[in-house]
Amino acid sequence: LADLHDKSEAELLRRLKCGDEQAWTQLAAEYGAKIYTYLWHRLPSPEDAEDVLSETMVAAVHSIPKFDGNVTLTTYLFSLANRKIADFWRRQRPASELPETLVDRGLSSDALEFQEILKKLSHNHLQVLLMRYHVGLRVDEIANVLGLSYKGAESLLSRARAELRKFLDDPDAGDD
Amino acid sequence: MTQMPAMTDLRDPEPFSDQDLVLLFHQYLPVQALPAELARQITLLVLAEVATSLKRQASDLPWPSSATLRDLLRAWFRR
Repeated sequence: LADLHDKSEAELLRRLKCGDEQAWTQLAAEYGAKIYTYLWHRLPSPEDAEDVLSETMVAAVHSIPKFDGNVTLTTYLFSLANRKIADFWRRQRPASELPETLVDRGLSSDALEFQEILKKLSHNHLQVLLMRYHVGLRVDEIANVLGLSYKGAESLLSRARAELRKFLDDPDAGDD
Repeated sequence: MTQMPAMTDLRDPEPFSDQDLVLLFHQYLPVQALPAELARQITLLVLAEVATSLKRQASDLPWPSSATLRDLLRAWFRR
């Protein structure tokens, strides 16, 4: 299945490089939706997610013609999105930090409790858990997005799971 | 259909499976659908950028060399 997915991505990439309008429409719809849900949970407001999605997609238009296809298209686009997230946080005032800026967006009490727990995770643990379990990236794709070896990504995921477990067992852990 | 464990069930001492975690994230952090209007705007933005980029590339194309132009003209006159 992963091979099939990679093959269809390679074909899409070929069409994108030819300036195929349908391929770009497909990219905007399919990958835009995937990236948006990731951004939605990484940024303070839906408006910020919209802005960073636009920036990511424009960056994709300009950089895909030079992209050599050494990683999957998903990996490539999430790397771009991560760079745009980093740019976003650099533009914010120093007092704004990710865990404090996630807001209540009308979620259930269990969901709010879970979100409270996520706020306690370190930034890179939250990032890797979202990529793996929310967006559904493979470990090799995460490794490429984060510039890690496969084993490095596995190890980061393992530490992230352990930290999540710690806070699920004791939501007050780490509170002073 | 798989039953989603409650938050308290997730605190049992067994390690999480990948499947547990996928369910956990999808249950409590719902996948946020791209609003239709935003999807339309993003598509238009992308297509506009592609068109601009293609135009720019076309204007950057080198002019044909004088030899090529001469060959083209000869071919045209021979028609």
